[in-house]
Formats: sequence, C-alpha cells, structure tokens
Amino acid sequence: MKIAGKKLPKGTFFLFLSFMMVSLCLLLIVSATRSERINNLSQNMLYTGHERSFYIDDAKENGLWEKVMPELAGQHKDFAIYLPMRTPEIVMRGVCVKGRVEVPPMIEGKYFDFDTSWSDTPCIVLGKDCQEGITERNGKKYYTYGGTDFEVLGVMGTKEESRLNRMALLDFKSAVRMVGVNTDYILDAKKESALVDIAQDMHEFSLRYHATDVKIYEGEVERISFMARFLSSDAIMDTMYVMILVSFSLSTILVTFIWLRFRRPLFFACQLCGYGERMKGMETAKRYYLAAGVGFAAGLFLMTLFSLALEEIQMKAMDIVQAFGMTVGLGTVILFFCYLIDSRKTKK
Amino acid sequence: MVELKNVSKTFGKKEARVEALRGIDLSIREGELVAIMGKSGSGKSTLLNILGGMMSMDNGEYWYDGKTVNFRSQRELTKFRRNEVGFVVQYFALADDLNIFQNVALPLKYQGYSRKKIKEMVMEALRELEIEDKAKAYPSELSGGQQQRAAIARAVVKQPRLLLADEPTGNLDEATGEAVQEIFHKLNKNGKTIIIVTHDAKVAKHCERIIHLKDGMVSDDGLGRDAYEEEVFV
Repeated sequence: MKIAGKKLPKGTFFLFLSFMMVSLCLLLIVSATRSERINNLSQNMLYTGHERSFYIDDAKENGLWEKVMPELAGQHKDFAIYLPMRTPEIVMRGVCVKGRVEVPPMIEGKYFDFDTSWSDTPCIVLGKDCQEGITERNGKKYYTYGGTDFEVLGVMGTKEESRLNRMALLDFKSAVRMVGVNTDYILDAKKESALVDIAQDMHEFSLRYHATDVKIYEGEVERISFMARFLSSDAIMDTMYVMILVSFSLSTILVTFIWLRFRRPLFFACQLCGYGERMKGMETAKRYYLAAGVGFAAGLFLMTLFSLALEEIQMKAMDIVQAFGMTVGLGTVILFFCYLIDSRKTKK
Repeated sequence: MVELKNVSKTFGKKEARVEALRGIDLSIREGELVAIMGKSGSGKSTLLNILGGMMSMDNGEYWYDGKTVNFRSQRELTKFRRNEVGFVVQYFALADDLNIFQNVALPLKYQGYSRKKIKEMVMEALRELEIEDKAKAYPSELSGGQQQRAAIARAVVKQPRLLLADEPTGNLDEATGEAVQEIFHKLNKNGKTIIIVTHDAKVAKHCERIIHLKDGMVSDDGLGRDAYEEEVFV
C-alpha cells in the first residue's frame, strides 16, 4: 500500500488501526470516568460516600479545634472535616482539608488546601450560581456573609445543572466562630479504612482537651464486592469500555508481534550494516511510536466527531493528556514485551 | 589483513552437538578475491559470519590488521562490523518498506554525516552499480539482479575494506549472476578485499584464490583461477 508515494507496510497499517481503537477507548473511558466522578461528587455533595457524622457536646473550651486539628493533621493525611451550616438557600459548610479527599471541578481559582482551610484569614469557595454579591478590592475578590468579608479562593461547579453549583465552602475556623464548637460535623477520608483511625485519634485528642463527648455515628455502609460493582447496571457502560479496551489491547499485542515479524528484514539489514542493539531498538521504537502516534491522532479525531454529535460525550484537555499518557504507557509495555519475545525468538 | 588461528565453533548440545568449524587457520591478504567453497554444512557460512563479526567463535584468535578482534565485547564487534565490513547475502536483506535510496543509506545513519553528504555517497554507490535511476523504487519493484546490485551498493557505500558475500548469486539466474560476479571483480580491481562463499564453481572461477572447506576444516587452499581452470575445466 502506498500513501503519498511512500510505501506503508500492512503491519504498520494494522498497528495504526489498533492504536486508533485503543486511543478511542481510552478517551471514552477517561472522559466517561471524569463525568461519572463529577456526577457522583454532585450527588454526594462533595462527600466520598463513606463519610461519618459526629458531634461534639459540651466542650467547655472554645479553642478545642485549635489544639485538636494540628495534632490530627500531624498524624494523618488525606482527610476532611466538614461543619454543615444551616442556610436556607444554598448548601454551606465549613471545611478543613488535609491532603486530597474530594476536589470539586473548579471553574476558576483553586480549592482549599490545609493552609487555606485552617487559616485565620476568612476564605470561601463559591458555587457557580452563588457568585452574586462578589466584590473586588485591590485585585482580590470578596464575598460578605454573616457580616464577615471572605476572600474568594475560587469558583466551583459544572457546565450543566448540579448541586455543586449551589454550594459554598468556608474555612473551618470561620465556620466554628459562626456556629460554635458544640455542633454536628462530618468526617471524610480518602480511604474508608483510615476513617476509624482518624475518628479514634480525634476522640482521644478531644477528651484530652476537656470535651465531654465526641460521638462518631457508624452509619451503615453497604459493602459491594468488586465483581458485583463491576457487573452492576450503572457500571455496565464502564465495564463494556474496559472489556473493549482489553480486547483491543490483546489484538494490539498480536498486531505488534506481526509487525515485528515483518520488520525482521529491516532488523537483519541493520545488523548487517553494523547496528548495535541500541540502534536497532531506536529504529524499532521510532517506527512503532510513529504508527501509535498517528493512531492516537486518528482516535482523537474520531472522538472529537463523536463529542460534536453526541452531547453525552464531552472531552476536556485533561482527558486528552491522560488518554495520551495511558496510550504511550500501554504501547511501551506492549512493545517492550513483544520486542523481548521476538528478540529471543530471533536469536534462537 | 585477516588472520584466523585455530578457530572452532560448535552448535547445539549433547546429541545435537555439531562442530561447524574445527581448528581453522587462515590468512587473507589485502586486495585478495577469495572464494570459500564447500558442500552444505561444511561450515562456510559460519566462517563468513565469524569473519564479519556476526557470530562469536568458541576458540581461536581472529586478527584483523594486526589487532585481535574482541568477540567478548558486543560494542567493539558492532563497531568492527560497522567500520570495516560490508555484507552481501543471498536473499538481499533489503527492507521492503524503504526505497532503494533509504536502503543504501542505512549504514550511514547515526554516523554523523550530513544529509547532503549521505545523498552524495548513496548516489555515487548507486551510480557505480548502475541503478541510479532506481533510487526511489521499492525493492519489490525491482528484478532480482537489481535488488542484488542495491544490496551491494549498501555494502560498499561506507567504503569498507572487507566485503563478504554469502551465496550472492544463489538467488539469481545465470546471466544476472554473471553480471553480479563482474561487479565483484570490478570492486576487487578497485582495491577491495572480497570473500565470497559459494558452492557454485562458476562463481569461484572468477576468484584468484579458492579455499575448500570439508567438515569444518580447510581441505584445500590456494588454488588460483588458472590452476582451478586447469583442474576443473581442462
């Protein structure tokens, strides 16, 4: 087969097709996963789904958190403590975040980290639909609530209608100042297993600093096995994408073997010309990644067409970067594996 | 130029063990045109591969230009092959997705030559082999003789001092084979040391010296063309 006067070997054409399909699958999976994560985040209102509520009762000392929080942050990573506030129109919470738990999609600015959420400067992250009343002073944005001016760290939300658009998160200290220390809280962590340890430490530290009671509600968490989750109806599309990806990956392995077999005359010619293993590897990688790269570009083009035709499929720049990284990683593993086997076979 | 001392090579293990070369002693001077003859399995291709640094030997010494060739270092062996040896094989070994120009340019890649210089060197080699007009053609578009000319061009483009050919006419018809032999003769006249492995007496008759191998050993060495013609054709 000749394209623009240049000969395109059949093996390379099939390799291009394989990578086009693998890239398409990866782009679909990455964008679908991102959409699903944002949907879940919105449905769970920023909680991970395995959060626990607790309350502090009869704490005599107002500065309880001033003592407990630094100790907790020193011993644990990846947790968040929320302080829900009763507001009529929007969902408002105080938050103290350590490490990474759930991060909402940001439209502008940034989300809280430990320094900004555990700070003496009042800060706020607003939902997209709560921006009314933002004022600007000295190049910074402010939002006034309960008589306090909060510096706006960022605006979160989604393009489509979601609960995140009507939420506001304050720094933890401001929320405690407004609500008081004796109230209900939500403890959340990246890993469910870490919740128990964090809760135990929190209990211990709170007792040490004279709170009479810290109760953690062990809400019932439905435990679903991996297989059940994999085959559940709401995950069936993801499962299908993964299955298709696995199929295409396997076929790419096969095609890579065939491609390497057809490259043998070239490798032999390289050997005759005095090329070492390194140069042979470079020649192989150059040709392989070129086919894979063009395949990815074709997959991206198809995905762009799909996203233009179907509203359900939306692609972000980050999805492309992630899918590209995964394609390169997958391609490298496949090439390395096949090259190793083919080289051993050739040597024999 | 080339000297082998007590070279031996064995393939396989236990019952499957085959002694391909058994204590070969050989000396080839610069500018010689040598044919290595022998029946199938006599060890001629193994000997050629060792001479070209494509295969290691089990025992013995290989001296090239007064220096030993270090078979223990793949790096040095590759360098030796790259700088000193040109290879021509029976089935041409041309990459089918590269055109003739790209095939011939293959040995010059990563050698630090400029594009202009590569083009110059490749076109010169193609001109010498009279296939200049086929530079843009792909191997599958050429006849067997033209493909072998391209393979020879690739072998000589980097101007190696030693040219090794393994059954270069084995895949060609008689007339084309004759033409290819003429090319070797011409290259030899221009100062190249050429070693041709063949089982074809017609090919060997063009050579000044013929080395016969039998069961991995040199059975006869030194018959020049005239002596050969006297023995075989008269």
